[in-house]
Amino acid sequence: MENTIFMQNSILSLLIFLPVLGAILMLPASKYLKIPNIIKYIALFTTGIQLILSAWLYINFDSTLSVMESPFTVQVNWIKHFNIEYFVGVDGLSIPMVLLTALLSFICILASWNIDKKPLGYFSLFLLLDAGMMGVFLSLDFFLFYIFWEVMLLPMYFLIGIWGGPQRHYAAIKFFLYTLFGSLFMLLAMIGLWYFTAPFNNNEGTFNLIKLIQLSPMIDSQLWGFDIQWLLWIALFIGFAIKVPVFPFHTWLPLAHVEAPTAISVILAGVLLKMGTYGLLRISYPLLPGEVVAFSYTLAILGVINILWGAMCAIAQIDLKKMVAYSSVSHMGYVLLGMSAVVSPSLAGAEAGLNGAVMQMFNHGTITAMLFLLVGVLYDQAHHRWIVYPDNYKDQELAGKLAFGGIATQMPVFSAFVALAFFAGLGLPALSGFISEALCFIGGFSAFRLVTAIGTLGILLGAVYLLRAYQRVFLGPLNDSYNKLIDINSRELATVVPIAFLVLLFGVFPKPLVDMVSSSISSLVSVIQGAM
Amino acid sequence: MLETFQILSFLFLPLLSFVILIFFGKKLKSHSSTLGMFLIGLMLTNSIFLILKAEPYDFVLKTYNKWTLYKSFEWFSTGNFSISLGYFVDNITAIMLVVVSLIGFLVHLYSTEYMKDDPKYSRYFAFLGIFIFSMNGIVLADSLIMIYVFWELVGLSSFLLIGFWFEKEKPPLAANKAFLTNRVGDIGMFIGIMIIFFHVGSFNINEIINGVSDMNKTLLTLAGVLVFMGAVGKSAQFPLHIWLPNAMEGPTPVSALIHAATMVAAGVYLTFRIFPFLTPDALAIVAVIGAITAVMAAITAITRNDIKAVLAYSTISQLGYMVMAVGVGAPVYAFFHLVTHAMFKACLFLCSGSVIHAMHHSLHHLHDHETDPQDMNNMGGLKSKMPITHAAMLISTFAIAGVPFFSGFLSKDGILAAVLSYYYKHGDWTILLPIAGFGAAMITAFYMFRLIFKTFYGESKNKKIFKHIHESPLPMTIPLIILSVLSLAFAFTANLNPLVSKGWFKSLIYKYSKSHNFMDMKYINAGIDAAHYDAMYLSLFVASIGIGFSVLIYLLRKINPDNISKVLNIIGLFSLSKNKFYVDKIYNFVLYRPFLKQTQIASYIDWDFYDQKLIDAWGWITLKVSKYSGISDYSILDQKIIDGTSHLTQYVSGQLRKTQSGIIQNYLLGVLAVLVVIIILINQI
Repeated sequence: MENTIFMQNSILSLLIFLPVLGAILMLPASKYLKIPNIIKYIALFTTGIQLILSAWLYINFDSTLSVMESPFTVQVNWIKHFNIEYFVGVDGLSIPMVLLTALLSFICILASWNIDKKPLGYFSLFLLLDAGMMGVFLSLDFFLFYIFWEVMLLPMYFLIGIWGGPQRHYAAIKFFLYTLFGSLFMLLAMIGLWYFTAPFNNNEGTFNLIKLIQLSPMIDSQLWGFDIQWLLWIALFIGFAIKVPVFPFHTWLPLAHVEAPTAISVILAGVLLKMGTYGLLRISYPLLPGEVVAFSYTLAILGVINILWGAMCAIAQIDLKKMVAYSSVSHMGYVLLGMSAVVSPSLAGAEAGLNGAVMQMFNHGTITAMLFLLVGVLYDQAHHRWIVYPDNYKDQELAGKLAFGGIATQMPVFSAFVALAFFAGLGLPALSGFISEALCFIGGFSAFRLVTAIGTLGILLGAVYLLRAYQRVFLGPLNDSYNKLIDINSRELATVVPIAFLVLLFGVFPKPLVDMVSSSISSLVSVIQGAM
Repeated sequence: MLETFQILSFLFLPLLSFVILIFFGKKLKSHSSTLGMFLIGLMLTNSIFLILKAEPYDFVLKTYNKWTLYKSFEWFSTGNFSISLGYFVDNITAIMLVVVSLIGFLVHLYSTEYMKDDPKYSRYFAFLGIFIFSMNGIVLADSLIMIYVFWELVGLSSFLLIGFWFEKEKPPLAANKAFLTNRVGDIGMFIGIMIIFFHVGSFNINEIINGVSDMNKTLLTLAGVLVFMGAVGKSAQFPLHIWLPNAMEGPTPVSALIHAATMVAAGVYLTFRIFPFLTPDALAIVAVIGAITAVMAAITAITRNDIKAVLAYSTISQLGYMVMAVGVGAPVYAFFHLVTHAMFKACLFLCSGSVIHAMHHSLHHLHDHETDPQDMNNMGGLKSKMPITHAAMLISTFAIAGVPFFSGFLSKDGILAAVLSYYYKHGDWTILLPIAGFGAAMITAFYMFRLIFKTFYGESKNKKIFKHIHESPLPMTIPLIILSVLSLAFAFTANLNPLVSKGWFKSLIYKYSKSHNFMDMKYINAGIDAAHYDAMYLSLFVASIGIGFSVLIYLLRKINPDNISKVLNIIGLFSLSKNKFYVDKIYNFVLYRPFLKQTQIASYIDWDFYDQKLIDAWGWITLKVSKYSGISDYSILDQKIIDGTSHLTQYVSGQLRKTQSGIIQNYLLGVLAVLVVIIILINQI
């Protein structure tokens, strides 16, 4: 019994700080233990434990309890002077993200097994990144949230900048500056919330996100002629929109994803993008419900632009990885569209949309992870990932010609997994992407009919770029230059199979995922609808 | 419980076949087909048990029992929004299950021989399994959303089977075309489903039928047409019919099962199910689309030389008939035709497969890899070499041409009567519908006999090939025999009088002509009955003209087809037919290529312009600014101002030294003054 209570109190902190511990252990271990690959094993072990812990959390998680009732919530003073708390907790919004982070971190360690350039740096930075991600999803204090948000940024900068592709320095600095630019707005909004809610809380500012739900709607003054609530919303939105990324803040994404090493692309697309929408749902939505109502139509339009523009750009790509990167822009648009449904006159529609959005965050995380992992597998062998050689290719004979072709003959198992991932990506029923995309559309449609109807074109465009790419790379007569390719090996299979299993499971049987999130969503919906 | 199990076995048995064969197919090797056949055979038995329970309509007492089995399971629920999956079984479902199981089983049997030497033998049967699974899902579904789910899965299995020989150039392209064209229709279907859901609050078809009555009619028309768009895609109706001819890249038994008998009929099945709540306006659109499809495809079929292409366009045309029938208020005849068509068209395709198989083997024997085994110009005179195939194909051709004593006559006759009575009632432009209907009937009779004569009669075009042609082995001919027997009218009526369409089959489906939300079906049915004889005589007449011309041109060779084509080309008809009405070309030049170009422009704007120029301009500006701020910082601020200040300070302090009082109050005063300034500033914010 005592063990359980101890476990309950410490599980969230363990999830966050275990990777830090692993990272710290690496240095002496690599110095004093002369075991080959010791660093990789430490990383694998740490993330493995984290994964088991998150599974334990999932099993003991009761979705009907609010954060304040949850036995896992930990709230202690940290910096008393500014009322900053170490306040972590888990609810229906965060638990899928926690599970996703733990799963993808573990898988990415496996996928990084062939990193031999400065492994100590790579894996310790990776674990720090892992800690930062967990921290973001578990923080319930805005200040703490912000700290973790920034903590993530630096490892990511180095991971892209050192272990990335040919344009890594450019990509890393662009990613860093772009995101930092967003963080600045978030910082402003955070200080603003602290300052302007103070009058309603005995003149004590607070960063407590649960308290702020009560306090921030009371802000009723103006600054420079604008409503303060509106300014806060805009500042937060810019901060989060860059991460999502919402059009027109999206162009850091293709570059960063393409230049990052495989595992980092997986983390970027699988987890980091979700932080933007997670931030909106965790902070902007409950704190500024009035602004959500006013902004939701714009959000729906932005979502549809994301869906269509991302898909259009994806169709034109001749680099497989860049295509997958643009597909993320498109797929995150579904999340935005689903989120905008919160103002729907139909309660069923609002719930469908928001549940769809959160499910899409999880499902896109798994599907896109699979896509990047598989592209990485091909790249490792072929050393390029062109669908069609570009016009300025170094070998002018090949320029404009199909680069691969017929790979399925040579790598049948690999191609089958790619097909699974592609079909999941284009929203085939029985695979997880379908149900979340459909819910986002159903929700969006109940609120904004015309915009959503235009957005449904994404169903077609998504199929266009994925199937065209599949046909050009994997089908048709085998390109003789690639008759030496070897099919996917067991380590690579180990990275893909668990994800494929989840994609299939949640496609056929979405109930566990829905049950996990739906009651938190219901309370969020009632907060927003209360402001209408 | 047992009943639920019995129904769900229609999903689990084929799924089991798929799962086992996909994972253990390599080990099972040639036993793969045995396993698949066993499981589908079980399903067939099951479906026969099911249909025996169906309650027929009693034409004498005019009564029927509402035999239905239904059950629904919650898939997931978010509190206020939930989706349920369930089955709804009635006579129609039971018949469809028999059709799918029977043809599925026969195609399995046929394929054991047809696909014998294929290295991906077990995978082929696995794909057949997943197809039958998805198809049964559509048939059993009780809600539009469940139909949509299986609709997409059927699209997947179609993709997999069309692209089965993916190591070749064309099949993957055809597979993509099929999937993407279908998705265009699916978008409409999805939007339609959403419109209906937010008015009725349910996806369940029966609840929708009961709940749409108070919906705005214009909106309901729109919703109905949108849902029908799904059927336009799946049933290859104009303007989304372009994928079906390319789908012939798949193995021929697949064409028989999926692209002739079952999957393409799913669109008709859907339209049949939603018929009661389609508004008269929506139905008129449905009828027109069906009519256009029926005529266009029939005209195109005349000039095909590829034996499978003729059948593909003929399928499109026949599907057009069914869709038109629903549109004019005769869903029962649409369904009747669906079933008779399933039998005779599956038979036709399997016969063509038998011919292609024989041609292929002969060419293989001659080491000839250039000649096209599907081109009818290389055939001729095969009758003597392939008597069973010939007989079966002839019977099914009689059926499709609408000759009495054969099944197609019964169902097509009903459709034509309905179209005719629709014109009698509405007049005006609707005369185009019977023209389309009877015209297509004539053309159908013509091109089908053209196919028969070019393939089986006359001199053989290529003696070398002809020498090595053999009749196909038993596993291939047994399905032909069974299906050709099922193409006889007797199989559906159990009555020797060819002009009577009443019988066991019609009594099973008759009650579905009874209800519609907005129309008086009694009135419509009376009209159809009244037009019955007109239609029958007319249809017999046009069929004989079609067959007659075919005999004159291709059997007796009294008329040179070139002269006819020249005459027809005066109004451009021959070129239109030859070029498939230019639909593919128009799509390519008007839609597909400009679209691809636009994506490239989008990508250019997004990356090369917006990101590289505009976004990075911020970096450039920052760098410039920081460069000048660096200059100003050091050269001006530091060197001139700061250092200047220090020079100044030195000078001033030299001067001030003289005023140094050492009195502490003066210092405090200075600090206070600064503090006041700061406080004032803060309060301003």
